This record gives sequence, structure tokens and C-alpha cells, in this order.
Amino acid sequence: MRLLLLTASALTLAAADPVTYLRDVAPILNKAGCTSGPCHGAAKGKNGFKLSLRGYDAQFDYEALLYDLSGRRFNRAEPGRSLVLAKPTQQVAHGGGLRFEKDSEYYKTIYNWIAQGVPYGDPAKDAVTQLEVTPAAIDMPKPGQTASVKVVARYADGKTRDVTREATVESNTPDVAKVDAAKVSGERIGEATLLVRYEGKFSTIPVTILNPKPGFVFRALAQHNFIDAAIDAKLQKVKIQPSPAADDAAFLRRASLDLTGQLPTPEDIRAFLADPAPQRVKRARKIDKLIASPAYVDHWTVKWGDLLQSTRKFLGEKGTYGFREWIRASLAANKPYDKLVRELLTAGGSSYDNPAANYFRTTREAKPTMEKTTQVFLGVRMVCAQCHDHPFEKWTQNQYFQMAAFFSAVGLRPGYEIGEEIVYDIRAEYDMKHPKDSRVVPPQFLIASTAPVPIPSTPRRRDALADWLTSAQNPFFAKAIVNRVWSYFFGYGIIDPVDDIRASNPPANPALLDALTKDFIDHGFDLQHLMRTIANSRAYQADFRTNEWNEKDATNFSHALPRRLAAEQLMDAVAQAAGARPNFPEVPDDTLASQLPDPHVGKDGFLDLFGRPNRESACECERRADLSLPQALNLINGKTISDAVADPKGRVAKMVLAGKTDAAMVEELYLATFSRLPTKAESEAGVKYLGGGARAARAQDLLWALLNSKGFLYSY
Amino acid sequence: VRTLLLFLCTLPLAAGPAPVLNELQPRGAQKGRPFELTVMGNYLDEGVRIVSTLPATFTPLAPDKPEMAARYAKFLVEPTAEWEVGVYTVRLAAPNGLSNILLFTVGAFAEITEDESRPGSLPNQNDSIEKAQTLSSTPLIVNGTLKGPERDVYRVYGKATEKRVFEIEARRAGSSIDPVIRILDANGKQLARSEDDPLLALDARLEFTFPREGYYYVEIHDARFSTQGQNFYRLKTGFYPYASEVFPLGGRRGEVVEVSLGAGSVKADLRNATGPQTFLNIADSPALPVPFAVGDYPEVREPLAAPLTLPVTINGRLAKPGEIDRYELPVEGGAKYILQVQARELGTSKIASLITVTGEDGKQIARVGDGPLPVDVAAVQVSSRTVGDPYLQFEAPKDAKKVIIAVEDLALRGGPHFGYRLSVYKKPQELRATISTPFVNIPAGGTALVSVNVERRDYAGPIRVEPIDLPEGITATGGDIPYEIPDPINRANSRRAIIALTAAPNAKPFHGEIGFRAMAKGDHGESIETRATGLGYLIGVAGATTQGVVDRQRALTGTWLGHQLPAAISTPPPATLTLALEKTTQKAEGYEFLFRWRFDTADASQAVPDNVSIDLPNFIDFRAIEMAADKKDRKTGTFLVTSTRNTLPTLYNISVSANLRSGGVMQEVVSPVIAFNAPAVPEPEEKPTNASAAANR
Repeated sequence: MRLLLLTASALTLAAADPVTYLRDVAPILNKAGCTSGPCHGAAKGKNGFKLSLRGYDAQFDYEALLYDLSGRRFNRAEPGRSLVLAKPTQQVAHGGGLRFEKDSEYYKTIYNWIAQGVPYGDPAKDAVTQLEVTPAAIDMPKPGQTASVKVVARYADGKTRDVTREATVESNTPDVAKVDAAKVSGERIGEATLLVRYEGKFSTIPVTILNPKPGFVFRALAQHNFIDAAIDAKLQKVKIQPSPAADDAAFLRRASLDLTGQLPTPEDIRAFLADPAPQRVKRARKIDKLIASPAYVDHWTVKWGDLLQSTRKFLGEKGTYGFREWIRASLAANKPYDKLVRELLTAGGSSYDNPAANYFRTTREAKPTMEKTTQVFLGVRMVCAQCHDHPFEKWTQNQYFQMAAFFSAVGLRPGYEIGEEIVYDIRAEYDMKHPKDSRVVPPQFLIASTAPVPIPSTPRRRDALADWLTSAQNPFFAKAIVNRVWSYFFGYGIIDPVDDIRASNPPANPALLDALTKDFIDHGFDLQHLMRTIANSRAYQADFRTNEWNEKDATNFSHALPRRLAAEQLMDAVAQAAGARPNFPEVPDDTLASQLPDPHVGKDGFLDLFGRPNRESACECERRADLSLPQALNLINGKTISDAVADPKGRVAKMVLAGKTDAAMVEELYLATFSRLPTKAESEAGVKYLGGGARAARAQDLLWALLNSKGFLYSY
Repeated sequence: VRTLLLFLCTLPLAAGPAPVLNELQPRGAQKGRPFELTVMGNYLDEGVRIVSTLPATFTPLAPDKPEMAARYAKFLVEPTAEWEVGVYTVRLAAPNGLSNILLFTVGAFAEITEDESRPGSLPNQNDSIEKAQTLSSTPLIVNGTLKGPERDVYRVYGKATEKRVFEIEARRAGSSIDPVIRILDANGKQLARSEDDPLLALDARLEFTFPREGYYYVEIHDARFSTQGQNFYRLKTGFYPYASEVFPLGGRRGEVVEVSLGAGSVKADLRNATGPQTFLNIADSPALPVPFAVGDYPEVREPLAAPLTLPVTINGRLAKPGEIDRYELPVEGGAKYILQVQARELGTSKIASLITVTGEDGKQIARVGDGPLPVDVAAVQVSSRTVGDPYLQFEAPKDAKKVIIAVEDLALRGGPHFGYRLSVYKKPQELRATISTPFVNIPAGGTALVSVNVERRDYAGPIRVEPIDLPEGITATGGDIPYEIPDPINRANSRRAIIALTAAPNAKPFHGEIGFRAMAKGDHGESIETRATGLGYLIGVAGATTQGVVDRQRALTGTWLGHQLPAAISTPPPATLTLALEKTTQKAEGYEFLFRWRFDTADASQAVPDNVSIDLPNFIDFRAIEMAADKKDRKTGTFLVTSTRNTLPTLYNISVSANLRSGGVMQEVVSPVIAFNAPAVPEPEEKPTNASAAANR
């Protein structure tokens, strides 16, 4: 009797609409967590059953279900006794616990699928082609409100289905917008982005929770260029009043540090403050002068040395100096950025004769070289896609290997001189193989270019990659560097992190990023023009002090954010403020921290303590801007500061020997450290202190105190 | 002079160690002009004289400070023939032995010394534009030094559009500096830079046109800011012609060859050439001459006018990027051939050669230049390995009448500096030998050890290395390189032989050269023999990194000198050291060889160490244990050498050495080499089991 009932029940279920793995079952496995990392989506699966992570490889999962255990996961005669149903409903023991109930829709769907003969489905019909997400944006006038998200999948056959329940909706800033089962609640003032994903398709929803405080009236400030227009438009929309421009001294300090890595000298500051030219004019002139200075080249050589991993650990001694010189010469000549990148990607021959070839010596193999290339020049992190389709982007594992295939023919062979290597194109057996089935993966661009670039079938594929990558039509290339450079001036990117550009990490101000990108391309990928444009904007020159409307803003560039000086900036600033020179081993005596060849010099010292990167990865994150107790102790008790203030040829010694007055000494020390004149109270306190005893020792004390204060340690 | 002669005559004969040469001052001189040469080093007070390739007399001068005579010696140098611009060797010879070689350069221009390098000067006097040393005349050669990581800056005056050459002679002149030249304006902006000139290897040269009249700054620094023992450079400046290319890269001994040097061609007269290399220059050029190889095979030049006949040396050049030179080679089916490239080692070509041999059907027969490299345990890191010019052995297919040889650059580069010499000859097996000891002082009544490296080419059998025409009173022991089983994974093929040269206590004084030859019997019984080439000199190059060595650079050698092994009899050692094999014991997985060493000292109070260093090359799984001096007689002791099943059963050479302090100086004493056999390890007997016992029944 029971058998009869069961059969009847099976017939009833089996009479339902056609069910396919692609359209119906795979989303259930994903939603139920079967394909998640801790479960069967783990690298080695779970308990002998392996599915692809988040179901990125439907074909693989389908075959695993069908053929593993000799197909014993299904009982087609009695679908309800199939392991694939019995396990998640815990009719038999399941390490993953209960995933859905026996009377659930998910159960019925899978039951019907088994009963119908476990059809895979037709990708031409059953694959999701698009997600339609509503609302397109969520604006909440105040925290505490809620909104619902609806997700509709559109399939290749034109049909649609509400998949809100199966789709995954996540917030990138849960403390601003929290998500629970497609319900969004506004937690506090700010902005967040919701990432909606379903069956390999993604969509995002921006969420803005406005300041409910009454009385906001946007007071327009002078707009220096298109940057300010784009920023003001956004600020006005989100009810944020920007801060006005900083004073001249603060501007000079900030611009000098950002453009050259160096503090302005007291003489520079006095001259700049005394310049009667209109503010915007004299600031623009100063920006030009800073960009034309040798210190500009040193400063940006450090940045690019970090990104290109110029270190003797990978390149040897002569290789490191050679690569650094190549970077220096490129920056000094303001080589167009697309040309610079092209030279790196297409470099070959001797690493001594053509130092750009060192680009391939750090990563050495195709896959890490591709990961570095996409991360540094496109701002795209492909590393996840080596093992599985990217969880938060559209990049697939196939694309990973297609892109890596551009570098699979790059060979390295020792040269005649020690430390010299020849970078060449391998003549035979250079194909990239897919790890899954060892099939040859031909090179293919990450996304199609609007101007098609032919890819040759020869080993020399890098030229095509360079054509595509540096093209003005490439939607990532110019945007990535513009965003990266922007972050160096503001402390954070329009997209942040700067080397993680993806749909789920949208720009804070898309119009601003688009305008900057277009301007950069229109000006021939001119990095100096880009920096000049940024530095001349009112937004860049804004005061760090906030008002009641922008005090909580940290993403819309409404005010300057104080930033701790980077390691090299700090060390050079200490040396310059104290009038001493850093004394590094293995380099000439007058070498500044910003002129060091690589992290080997001064290793494990002050620079590393303050976050100098080892250059072992191309990630911007390797440079630390953290604050720590050892740093504080080093500043207070360490040799770097104590030696600098007491340098026999230093600023204090020179001032004392020159017979400067107490007031003059106080003024000079403030100019040398804070890059501004002391206030009246500061001056009086300083003079009083100097007059209280041994003048030289007290001047050293004052300098020490200034060097240990935030006014010195930060750029603001 | 009489005082000096008296002084020299009263020197005790060969009282101390052999002289060591650390420094020459100056490092160069203007041709034809007598000058005073100061040599600096150690043990210079034992009647040293200068042995040099410079045609000159070297007259000793009385020391300024007699108490420093062991460290400084001065000579008056006068030409005895016309001096050519070039590099010459300076070695010291004394009754107690030979010194190392340093190089000395003759130039055409007036010479000055960098202010900072003058005796007694303070360091870092011209390290910046502000403190630049002014060079008020041109042409000129400045003899400078880079003491540690520093820059030297010179101020020069130039007129608008005036051209001037700035060139550094460093590596070519025997300095370990890897120089960089930069031309800067008064604001420090770099106007020109040269690091490795394609024709000067690691030396630098640039031709600069002054954009406007005024002062400019010439900065010299080491490419790695390293600290070197040989830290000098010669800044040559003026406007002069120089060779900008060399083609062909060499010619045949006994012939006169027309050679293009870029700015014109010259005739290379090789009729009296003796060494493996000579030098060529544009007539009257003040630039240093460029290396030019001398070969012994008939030579042809691309494009070929006639079919190749062997042996032959092909002179070719990849004139433009991507060019591949192809040669048709008539072959005998089944015969073995060798292709040997000579290019990079000359310093006048940048080619990284890739050689491919294909059959008439287009199928590849052999290839070299891009395959896996043999394991190099001496490389500091993977990226600091090197490869020299490649050679390729191949066997012609049985029915082949001809093959095609393709020569290309690994990175498909090309241009005027991508010349090559490709020697092709028929030979089934070959040895190449190098004496890796640059010179030797053999103590009278004592022993010195010499190493000879032998490169195997398709030959895996035993090799014997022997001295040629040993002087009377000197005997040799050792020289055996055992057979081996080729390892398809680690294709390293260079093996070292140790040869101990022992002088009789009454051996006659000897200053000369000792040659070596490597010999073997080929697979078909034919004799394989080659004469070893000498290093000439060996000048080390230090790394720039003090903590954790990252790079070394190639030591400077002078194979171009064509030396064998310069040798001399030196003072008796403080002790003699002998070694004997006392016992061989079979163990389960190998053998134990018990060796005994013994010091014999004329002076009973001479202290000797409790252990010795062992040199036992080519012994697989070498392990030495239980080294100890005898408790009752500290002058003798024993150690055990153990072998394993991996150790090939054959003849091995072993020697031991130790450092003894005598007269306040550490001196090395070496034992003669002894040869011993490592027997084969018997296969373990199979122990009967129930199953095997049953089977036997």
C-alpha cells in the first residue's frame, strides 16, 4: 500500500513543468549552500563529494552528481530515496545538516528533476543572461528606514523568473545598509553598495542614507576645474557641504609632500607666503615647479618601484639599480603612461641592456605575471579566478587562463653576466594548459575591445596584449591609473581599494572618475597633466577641517583627510627638519630615503617600521600606513629622531652658532616641521621655554617635541 | 743606486712568504713618458722585481720609509720600445715566489689624478655638483677611485655644439668597478648616461654634444655602489675616434684579416699571433683596443661563397632584429660534429646564441641555447646564474647528406653588435680544460695544489690530467678524474682534477710556466687530448650587499694572455704534510677509508692544527667523519671518509691542507695527492624466506 502511495505521489510530482539542472536545480544547490566554500564547494569537496565553488562550473557539478559514486546519488525509480534528496533533508546522516525541508519547493523541484530523468538543460535556453534588479537605487532620507529588493532573472530563451529568494544580496558596508533576505535597512548616514548575484550574473544597487538634519543649504564654492564640478554635484545630492580651501602654508606642505615626498623648506614657505600673486595663480605655479623638480622623480620612482616590485631579491643588485633608473628616466621624461606600460609588457632581451625586461623577472611565470599585470594596470584582481570563477566578479577560470596565455611564451634564461637574464619568446611548447583537462587555452582578452585587436598564433602574443591593454577604448586601463593616482592625493580612491575594480566595488563618484579618465586619455595619457589637474582642484586644496555637514564624510572628497607620512616621507622629513642627512649603508652619504634603490637598504630599520613595503607583491596594500606602539616608541626614544635633533651640522646647531634669537629659532623650527609660522601663543611658549635654561639643549628639546607631534607626522 | 744594490744584495734569500700585489699607483701613464710606479702589497721587501708585458725598464727606488718597505716599493719606469695604447700586466717576482697580476694601462692623453685619490686626501671631496673637481683641459685622463659607495663629480666646460667623448676604463683595465657615467647640468638634470657600452662589456662610454656653452658635470659611480678592492677607474675625455663595432670577431692565426671597426676598417695581422686573442684599434686612436679572437681553423664569412668544408670557423652577424642565419653543412651519415660559438666571451658581441640543426626534411636534429640548464649549486640564486657561449654536439642521421645550421639570437635581437664566430668540426668526443689556479708558488721541500677543470663533451670515461715538461726537481701527483654515469637531469659536465706539485728541498730556483694536458681514451680507443688554458689573472669582484649575498659578478680573468700556469719555487714551508690511506673497511652500504695525516716540522716548536681540510673531488656522497689528532702525537691524526652505493667504484684523488702560523704569518701547507680505489659495494645477499625456500624445494 505504501509503495502504491509513493508511486502515486511520484507520478503527481513528475507531472509538473519540465525541470532542468541549469535553470532550476543549480540555483537551489547554490542557495542551500551546497556549493559554498565550507561545504562541497571546498577545494577538495566534502566527504568525498566535490562541487564547483558557488556552482561556477555547472557542467562539472552536473557530472559530479550524475557519475560520482557510479551514479548512486539518484534513484530514478524512487526519486525520494535519492541521496541527493535524502542527505539535505537529513533523512540520512548529512554532515552539512538540514538544508531544506522535505515539504519545501526545493525538494519538489529536485524530485521532479529526478523523476524527469535529470535533464541538464540547454545552455542556449536555460542560461541566465541578465538580472533585472529593482529598485535601481535606494535613497533613504534618514537611517532606520527599510526597502525591499526584487530580482528577476532573464533567460536565454527570453523567459523570466522571480529569483529574489534564490539570489544572494550582500552589502559592502553593513553598518550603513544591512541586508537580510532581500530586505535592506538603513543603519546610519552614509553610502553602501548592494551586490546581487545569481547564477554567475551580478548587479549592484547603490544605497544612500541621507543626513536627516534640517537646514542644509548647499553653499557653492569656487570650482577650479571639472573635478570640483563633479564632486560638488555629488555632495549637493548627498547633502554634504565641502570645506573651503586650506591656507597657503597648508597647501604648500600638502602639495610638496604629495608631489615630491619632501617637506617645503623654511625658505620656500616664506617665499610662497610672501608671493602677492592671486592664490590660484601662485598655487598653480608652485604645482608646476614641484612637478619639474628632481624630488618629483624620486618620489614617484618609489611608488612605481613598489608597484613593479623593484628589489634585489628578484632582480639582483645591478638589475635593481638598472630597473630603478629605467623608471626614473621614464618619469623624468614624463613618458606617456600607455607607452610606459607598453614598453614593460613587450620588453625583451637582456635585463641589463633593456631594464624594462625586469618586469618579467619578478614574477617569472605566466600566471603571476598576468595577475600582476591585471592588478597593476587594470586594477583587476584575477587571482581568485585561477581556481574557480571569481566570486564577486564576472571573471571566469577560463578567462584567467586565457589572459595568462598571453605570457605563456615568455622565457627567462641567464645571460652572460651574473644577474643578467635574457627575456625572450619561447619557440616551442609554450601553450597555456587548462588545469582541469590540460586542454590548450588560447589567449583571449578579458573583455572584447571596441577596436578589435588581432591575436597572433605565434609566441609573440604580448604585443597584442599591449595593444588591447593600453588602448584608449579599454574600460579599465586609464580608469585604473587615474583612480590610483587620485588615491595618492586624497588618501583613498574614487574606487577603493584602488587595485580591486569590480562591479561590486563601484566608484564613489562615477561622473568624477569618468571625467578624469576622459581628460587623461584626451591628454595623451599624460601623468603629469593628471597630477597637475588634481592638485589644482579646489577639492584637493580643501581644508582638512570639517563643518557640521561633512564631518562624517570619508568617501566624497569634501575635505582633506589627514594622512600619516609614508615611511620615506617621514624619514626624509625628519632629516630635512633637523637639517641632518639620513645615513644609509651601501649607498652614497647624501642619499635620501626616497632615493634608495630598494627595501634592502636600511632593512628592518625605521623605514620598515613605518610601513615601507618589501616589494614582494604588486598590491598597493603592501605599504602600511598603520599606527603602532613600536612606531610611537621609536619616535620618542629611537635613534633616528635623537640623532637628528643633535646632529652637529644640524639645524639647531647651526642656528645656535649663528646667534639667532629665540623668536627666530622658534619660527624656524615651526617652519621646518609644521611648514607654517608658529601662532602667537606657540611663539611665546617657545621663546619662554628657550629662555629657561641651556638654550641649545632646549632648542633640541623643542625640535624633538615638534617632530613627535601630529602636526609633523601627518600630511593634512 | 749603489746603496740600493747593497741593500738588495744583503737581503736574506727567500726568508718570507711570496709577495702579494694589492695596488699600483698610478694605474696608467701617457705613452712614451717615464714615470714613477709605486706598488703596494705585502712581503715586498724580499728583493722584488717587476715582470710586465710593458716594454720598459723597472728600476727600483729606495723606499721613502724603510720601515714600510714590506708594504711599498717604488720603481722608475722607462720605455724600451714604443708603447701602444693598451693594457699591460704587472707582476712581482721575488726569490720567494711570484705575486698575483694587476693591470696597468697606457694612454695617449695627459694623465692626472683625482684630487680625492691623492695620498693623504680626505674622502668624499667631489661627491656633488657643488664640490665637483674642475677639469680645466681636454683631452685628458683622470685616474680616480671610488672608495665605497660614492660618486665622483667633475666639472667640465663645453662650447655650444662641441662634441666630446667621455669614457671609463675600469673592467677592461683590471678594476672591479662597474662604471656608470652621467652628464648633468648645473641643476642636476641628467643630460646623458652610459652604463654598459655594447662594445665595452660593463664599461661605459658616451659621446656628448654640449647643447650650449657653459659648465657641465660628469658624474662617475659604480652601477651597484659596491665597495671593491680594485676600485680605480680611468676617465678618458676628449674628442677622438674609437671602434664602434667589430666584424668579424676574429681571424685565423697566420693570416692578415680585414676587420671593420665601425669608423673604418683595419688589417689585423695575425701572422705572429700566439695566444687565443689579440687586440685591434683604429690607427692612432687613443681608445683602448678591442678584443679580437685568433683561431686555428680556416675561416669563412657570411654570406658564404662556397660550400662549407670542415673544420671551419664561420664569421657571421645578425645584422637586424629577427634575422636568422642559416648554413648548409655537408655531413657524413652517422658522424658526430661539434658546433662551438664564440661571441659573448669576447665582450664585443651581445648575442645570446640559439643554434638549431635541422635535417633536409626540416626536422630538428639538435638545438642549444634555450634548453634546461644543468644544476648550478654555486649560484647564489636562480636569477644570478650565467651561461657562456654555447656548443652543440650532434650526430648526423644515418642517411643524411647535409644538415642546416641556424644561428639566431634567443631574443631575436640584431644589429652591429650581434656578431658571432661559429666553429664547426667533426669530432666524436672532446675535452676542454682550464687551469683554474692563476699562478702557483711551490715551496722548496713542500707542496702546492693546482686545480684543472675539464669539460666533458660526450665523453664519460676516466680522464687523466698531467703536467707538461715539469722542471727538474718538481714532481706531480694526482690528476685523476673518475669515469661517471651521465645524468640526464643534471647535465653539468665540468669536473675538477687536483694536482699536487711538490718541489724537492734542493730544487733549483724556477720562474716560468707549467702546462697541463687532459687525456682520455675515447669510446673507440682513440686518444682524446687537449691542452689546458690558463686564467692569466684572477681579480675578484665583490657584491654590493653586505648582509645576505645577493649577487656576485664575474671575476676578471686574462685568458687572452695565453698563459699556462705561472709558477715559481718559493721558501720552504713551516712544515710538510703527508697523507696515507691506512685501512679500507667494508660496511653494509659502502666503505670506510681511514686516512692518516702527518706534519713534519724542522722546528720542533712549530705548532700544528688538530685538523686538516680535505679536498676529494668527484666523490659522490662524500662524507668525512671522526677527524682527530692523536692524543700522544698531535702532529698526526686520522679521519674517516665514507662512501655509499652511489659512490662509483673507481680511482679517486685526495689531498689535505692546513694553515700554520709561522713567523707571524699564516701559511698553507698541502699534502701530495694520493690516489685510492673505492671498491664496488657487493649487492646484499638475498635472505631466504619461507616462500623462496619453498620455491627452491
